[in-house]
Amino acid sequence: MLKYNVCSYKDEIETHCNASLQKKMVKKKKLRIAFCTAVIILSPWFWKIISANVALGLLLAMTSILLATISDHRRYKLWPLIFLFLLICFWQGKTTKKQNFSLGLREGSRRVVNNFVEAIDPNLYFFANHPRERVGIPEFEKFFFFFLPFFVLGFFNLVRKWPLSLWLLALAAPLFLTSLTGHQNFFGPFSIFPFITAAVTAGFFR
Amino acid sequence: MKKTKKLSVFLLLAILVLAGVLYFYKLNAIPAGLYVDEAVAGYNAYSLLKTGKDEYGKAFPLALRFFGSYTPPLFVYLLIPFIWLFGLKVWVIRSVSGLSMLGGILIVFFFLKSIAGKRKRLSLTGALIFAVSPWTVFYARIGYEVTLAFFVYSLASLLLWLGLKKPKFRIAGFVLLSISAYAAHTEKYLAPLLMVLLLIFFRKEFIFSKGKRATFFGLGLAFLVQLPQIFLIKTAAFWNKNDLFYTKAIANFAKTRLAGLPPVLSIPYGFLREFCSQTLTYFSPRSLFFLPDPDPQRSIPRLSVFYGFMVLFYLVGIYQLYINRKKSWAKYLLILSLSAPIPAALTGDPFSTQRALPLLLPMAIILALGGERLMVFIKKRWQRLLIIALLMVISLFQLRRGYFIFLPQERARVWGLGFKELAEFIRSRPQEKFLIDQSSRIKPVYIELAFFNLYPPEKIQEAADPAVAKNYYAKTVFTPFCKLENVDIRNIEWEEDIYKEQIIIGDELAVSPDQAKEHFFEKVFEVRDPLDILIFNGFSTNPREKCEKGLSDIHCLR
Repeated sequence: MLKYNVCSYKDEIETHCNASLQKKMVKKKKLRIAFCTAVIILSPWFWKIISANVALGLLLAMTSILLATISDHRRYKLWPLIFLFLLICFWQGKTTKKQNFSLGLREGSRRVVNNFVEAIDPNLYFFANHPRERVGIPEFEKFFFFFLPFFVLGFFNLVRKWPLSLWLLALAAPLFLTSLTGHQNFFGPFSIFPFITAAVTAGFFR
Repeated sequence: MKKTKKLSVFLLLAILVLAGVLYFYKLNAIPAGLYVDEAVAGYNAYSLLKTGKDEYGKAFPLALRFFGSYTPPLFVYLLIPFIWLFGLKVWVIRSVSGLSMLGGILIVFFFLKSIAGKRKRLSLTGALIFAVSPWTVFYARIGYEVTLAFFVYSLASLLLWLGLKKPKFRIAGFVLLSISAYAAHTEKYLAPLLMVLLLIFFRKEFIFSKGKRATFFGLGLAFLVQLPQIFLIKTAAFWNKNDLFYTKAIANFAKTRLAGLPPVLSIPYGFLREFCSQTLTYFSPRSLFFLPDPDPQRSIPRLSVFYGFMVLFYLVGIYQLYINRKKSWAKYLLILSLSAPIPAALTGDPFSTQRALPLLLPMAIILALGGERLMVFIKKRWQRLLIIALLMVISLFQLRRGYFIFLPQERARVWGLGFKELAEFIRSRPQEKFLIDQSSRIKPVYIELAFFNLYPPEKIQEAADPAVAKNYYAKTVFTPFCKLENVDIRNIEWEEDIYKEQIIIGDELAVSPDQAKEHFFEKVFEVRDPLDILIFNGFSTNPREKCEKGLSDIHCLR
């Protein structure tokens, strides 16, 4: 006869009915934090940011870890995340050289689409946009490419697990911002950093 | 026939008619000119038809020595009956590709029909997406071997997919896959790779099932078809594309970026990085929906390989593939998609639509999966029809603007506009002597002249180096210089050529206005592209005046 664990998911969190299972979950959470930290430390992007701006680097690291630990919990507090992302987005908006949108609706929309397309290109994050480097923009490596399979797996895993609110906060809002502000930022589109780190972590544990 | 089936057949026919218009409208004039790769295929087919030998005098070769590229020969042999029927014309060379892409529409339709289940719209959605995609339209209208290779390879893929359930299809599938290796360089590497991958991932169906006899029979026939190719493996001709591999880029990366690591680690790391980055580009939304192929000769101005709005279809389609990943159709599609860009990813060109053409089939299917899934959200039929109509209008408008208006204007030069006019000019002056400056800036002129002036193949064969025919698969070094009747094709030798009575032809950099003035040249010929940029200049020399007015030269004494 098959034995099923009597704890439902809700029970696990709320009533702590199964101590051993809870221990396992805590261990798993610790592992997630450890892996996420490793991803952050191994990211050349993070070092580029933190060597120039410690506060921003720590903010991104903290947000990434917070986001990465959410992916196997259904209960999480959204407000701290909203606050952190607002801060990151504000920082990105402030440090990005503004684009000229006074060239008319057509040219403006073309630029927004162009910025969006550049921001969703996986080559930008894992291969410094190689082999289709942009003209006049100094490209730099953001994540080591061996994290790419984890990212792909994690991305699809998060599609199933994350609620819409998290997607809007962690990916849609930074993408929207990057599309509007453009790429003329020394650190690149860093508001997407926490999402990629979380997706890589999720992929590893998948 | 049921009403829905009738409607489905009617809509499929409508898609084919629309595609027919897109693929064959003004085929002679768009792309403007005739690219050398088209001319060389056409002329060699003509030569084989007339003499049974190619331009070098080699009888029915296994790989054609086009400018030293040793192209697989299927396309050229298939062109022969078309040239026999209609003559050596630009539209004839290109029409084979149009027919291949029409066949491609049917392949996409039947592939999707076999996986559709209750999704009635899926197959038609796929056929429509495939038919109007810029990638399809572009390769349907050029006389390259890659389009025919795509058709043969895709048909083999379809038959092998159907063969998973019905073993009788396997034989034809394996044989066609083997034949596709004779159609283009990409398929030469891709066909065996796909065969191996299918036998590994579908071993239960192909090897350990009732139909294994059909599998082994098909594989046996495929091997027999490959025998001539195996003969070529020993020759330099088989490996002549090796120089496209990014050896230097890897070495450079290992040297500069991984200087601290030993070569045993840094070189494999460099290769892996380069290969993964190249492969990922073929799946990047930026490359697929927003940026054109970086080569101006292989792209449509202001248009990528698919329309921008299709990025939504793509993302949803990929997700569909992921959630169905355990189903055999998803597994099959995944193998097709992941293997298709491998040969292209081993070359240094970023996002080569020509080498990665086999990716078009799985991409069209993924887009159809996504498009159909998105349509489910729209409940009312009239709303669905309105959206489809709107997207079609947007797509066709973009295609018309990019392909039928901008391409013949902006890309006329790269497509070889001017060669026809040059050939006509030479034909109109049979008594004159011509010198054409064959600089590295100009594609081989001799083949364009041979094509447009219908030079007798025997004369071209006589002009070729006789050592080539004797050692056809080993002499890979190509030179575009040659002498055809009254036309000498080589670099200008300024010390001598200005003292000969002849017409010197070159591009805008061959003869500067100062040089023309200094040597008393007279302009007799000029071709400009639609943007009024000079393509060819022709000057008649004036040795008498040069000797009379210029400084005395040893040549004047002769």
